[in-house]
Amino acid sequence: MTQQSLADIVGATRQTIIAVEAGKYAPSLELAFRIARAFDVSFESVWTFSADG
Amino acid sequence: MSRAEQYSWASLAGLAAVFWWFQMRMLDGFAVVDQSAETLTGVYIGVIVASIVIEIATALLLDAVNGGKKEIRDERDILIDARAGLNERLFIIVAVNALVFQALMADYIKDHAAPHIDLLHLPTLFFALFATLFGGEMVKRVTSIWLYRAQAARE
Repeated sequence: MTQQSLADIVGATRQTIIAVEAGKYAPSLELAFRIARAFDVSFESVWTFSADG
Repeated sequence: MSRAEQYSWASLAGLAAVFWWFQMRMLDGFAVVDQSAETLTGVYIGVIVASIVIEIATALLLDAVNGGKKEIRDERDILIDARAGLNERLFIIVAVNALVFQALMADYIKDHAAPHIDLLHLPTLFFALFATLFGGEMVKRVTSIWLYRAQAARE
């Protein structure tokens, strides 16, 4: 899946997907769920939480 | 570069052009030129018309550059816009307070020699208020661009 196709599916811009991938932008819960759903996997398998940020 | 970021750059350039035109009609060096209310009204209308024309031209230009694709504004754009708006508000609050404070002090300490902004002079008041609005808008655009650049990664 390309960044652009993922962006189209979740209703975001490609630049936002790039920023999320690079760890420069923390998505909202809604966008995080949408991304997990786009890959048809559970939330936990896409996202992890680090207290360091 | 997202369309929202392209808009911030184009809008900043347009704003700078309008402000340049505005200050050319208001200033002689760093001093505000004495002008009639009629002339000031012409400048006022000119600034508003130029701002609207530049906004429309910017939208048309970005539409052409992006091949007429629909604009997508996502949560990151809204968040950046909100943070930029906050900085704009802070700038305007500080600028208005500085204007009021210096006006009060200028009247309170009558025999001071320090230069001050005479808000009783209509062209000066007009310039000070409009410059504050321009400054606020510029702070908003620059903050947007800075946040977009800070979050940008190698594509």
